Amino acid sequence: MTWPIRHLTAEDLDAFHSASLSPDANQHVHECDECRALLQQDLALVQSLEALPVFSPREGFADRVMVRVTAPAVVSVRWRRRRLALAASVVIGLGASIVWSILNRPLLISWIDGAAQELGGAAWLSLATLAQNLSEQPWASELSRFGSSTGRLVLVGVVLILGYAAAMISLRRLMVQPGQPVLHAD
Amino acid sequence: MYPGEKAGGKLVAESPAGLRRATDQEVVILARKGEEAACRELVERYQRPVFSLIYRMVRDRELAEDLSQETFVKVLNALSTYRPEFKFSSWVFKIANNVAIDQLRRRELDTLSLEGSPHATTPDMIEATALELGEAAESALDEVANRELGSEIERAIARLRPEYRSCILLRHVEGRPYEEIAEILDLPLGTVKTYIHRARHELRNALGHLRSEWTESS
Repeated sequence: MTWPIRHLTAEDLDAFHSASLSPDANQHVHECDECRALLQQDLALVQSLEALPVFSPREGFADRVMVRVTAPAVVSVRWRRRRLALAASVVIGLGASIVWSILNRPLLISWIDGAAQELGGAAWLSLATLAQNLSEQPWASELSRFGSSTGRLVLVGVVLILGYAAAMISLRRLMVQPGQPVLHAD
Repeated sequence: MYPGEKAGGKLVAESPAGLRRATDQEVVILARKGEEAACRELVERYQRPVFSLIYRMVRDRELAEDLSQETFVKVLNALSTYRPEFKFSSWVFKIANNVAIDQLRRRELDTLSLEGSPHATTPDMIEATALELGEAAESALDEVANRELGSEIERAIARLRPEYRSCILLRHVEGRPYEEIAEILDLPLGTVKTYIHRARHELRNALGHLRSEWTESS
């Protein structure tokens, strides 16, 4: 094979330093004075660099650093225990209530029934009282006569729906930025 | 038993000797829990390589020490953000390099030249831009820096661009592989190789007058 006329590349230099120069490159080095000199210079340079001393800071460097370091944030053991205790209490309480409910099902149902009756009675009484109050108002009879006609009710319903739709459209237009500059608007 | 191992369900802090045997990951676990000995161990493990890197970047011993302290303060205060799947050394060097680069950008100490600005073309310009050494007002620390960083090769490194300087120092002084350097500097692998090759090319040119000695010695 005819060796192409090319000198060593940067990759060849790396290969040389790691003792993995290809046979062709090796052959070229033997034949080319310039590349041979380059390899020697590069090797001497690398050896000089590797022989450079490692410097040390002044005595007590670690002490000076430690003075400036803020202690790593260590979660307070006491606070961690409180959180664990609170979580454990919640879990235990829930567990205990579930177990008690299962074991005392009839009693729990009677409590729930009693409470529901009381609440339902109170709600019904409130509604009845409100209805009676409204019916005793002076305008109640007029409203009753107006609402007795089906046609009027439908008309009122349509007007309400149209009015709601118009209000929604107006509100949406007010909330959209104008597409063109508006005079005197800052 | 090593730090980080569980005994009776609790992580155990070891003696200083035990900490020294532990891996970086194990020491970090303890340091995250607020163990001062573990934090100190991390500083002592990396103080020399970090200081060396920063010192060669900024070429001022006192400044390098301040920046190194800043690096470790950042490392220790941000331990909770360290991801264990990456090498701890890479993370430390990343912070150190960023601290050094930020300082260089702030102070515009880009390419110090003891022998005049690289852009100087006449002897008068060179003399005007050269740093003068050995002045009466020079501090003891400056004298130390001049002695430590005054060799030909150190001065040639100082003339490199900060990006090239970081790469060449991490590769050939700290001995980090290309992949780790790419991780440290957050650069593509190809870019790291290019920077290192260019840096070596510039150093070979800058140290060309030593060429005959190198050729003979090798």
